[in-house]
Amino acid sequence: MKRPAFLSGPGLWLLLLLLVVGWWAGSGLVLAETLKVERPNMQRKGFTPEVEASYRQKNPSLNYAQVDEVERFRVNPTQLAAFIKEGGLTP
Amino acid sequence: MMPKSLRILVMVAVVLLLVGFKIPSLPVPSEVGKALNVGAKTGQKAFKAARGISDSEEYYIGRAVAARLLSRSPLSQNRDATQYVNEVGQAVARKSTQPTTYRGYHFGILETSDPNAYACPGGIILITRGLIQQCQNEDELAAVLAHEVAHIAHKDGVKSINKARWTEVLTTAGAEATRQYAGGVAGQMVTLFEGSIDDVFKTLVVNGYSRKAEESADRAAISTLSRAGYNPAALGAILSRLQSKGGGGGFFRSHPLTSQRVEAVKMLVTATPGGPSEKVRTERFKKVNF
Repeated sequence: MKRPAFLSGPGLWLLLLLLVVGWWAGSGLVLAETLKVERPNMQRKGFTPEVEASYRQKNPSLNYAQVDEVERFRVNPTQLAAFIKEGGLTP
Repeated sequence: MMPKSLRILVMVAVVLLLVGFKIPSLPVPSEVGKALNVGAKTGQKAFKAARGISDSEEYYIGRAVAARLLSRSPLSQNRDATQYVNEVGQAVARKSTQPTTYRGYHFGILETSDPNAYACPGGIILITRGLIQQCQNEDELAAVLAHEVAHIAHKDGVKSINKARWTEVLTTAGAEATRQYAGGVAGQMVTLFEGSIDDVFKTLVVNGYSRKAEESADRAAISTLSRAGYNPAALGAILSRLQSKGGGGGFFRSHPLTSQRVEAVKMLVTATPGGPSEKVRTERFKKVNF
């Protein structure tokens, strides 16, 4: 069977070169996309609510219920303003 | 006119280039793949190592430290006293160098007679009933709270996390497997979390802050008290009283108190007689049943 003219001599080398360039560019793009996607996620990693949940499960005697109680306690802004005014403090 | 064979070649080239950019599944030759992988991981590590502890991470460490403290001494259920301590605390926190935190400042009273106060990273401040009872007026209570707020603003708690441990946290967080939060890596992160809490807890409760950190927090507290409208001399007054009572219990362990420190605080502020507003504040302090 006769081989087409572009699959012999310099044509074959050019074809091979294009194949390599195309594949390489594609891989590079995938890598770049991976990094682009991962960077914002990485900022959220470290000590997260999931890590706290595992830690709480591992240490059930810790008093997280009262930590939540401390955090739930809020001072009403109007009451705080009145408190500051009554005490002659800086608003 | 372009020869037919060349036209076919150009068409094939165009198709290959277009398709090539979208072939993620083609296997990367092992050596090149390894190099790319190492490069990407190095980039990730450098990116991670460049950052310190985030506000949210500080917050979760602070919650864990508070949970440990509250396991030792329960939270006071005295609503009036809690309301009052929160009002004083908020009045000083908003005039500190860090008026806001990730989830805000919160103040709680620990039900124990041992005089002490703890600044949990992120914004939770726990003061014992014993220390409040050592205060003679609102300005002294404000001075103690302003000092604790300064420890939070200066990140003195999280600074005590072992550096090697923190580097490991960053490396582990950067590992690809962490994305899944499954298996060994998640377990490793919990262990690192636990270790970090131990580091902070040791500083807050057992070993105490460094003298430098204490002096810096004192100076910041005096500035905060002045900005808030409290008498800054109140800090020297409460520290002197605690020192004269010989020990001050845990407060001396967690906040090393030397005569030089008390003198340094007194040197910064000249004691002035309280004005009419200070009298109002003292009266309302005395009305609260701690």
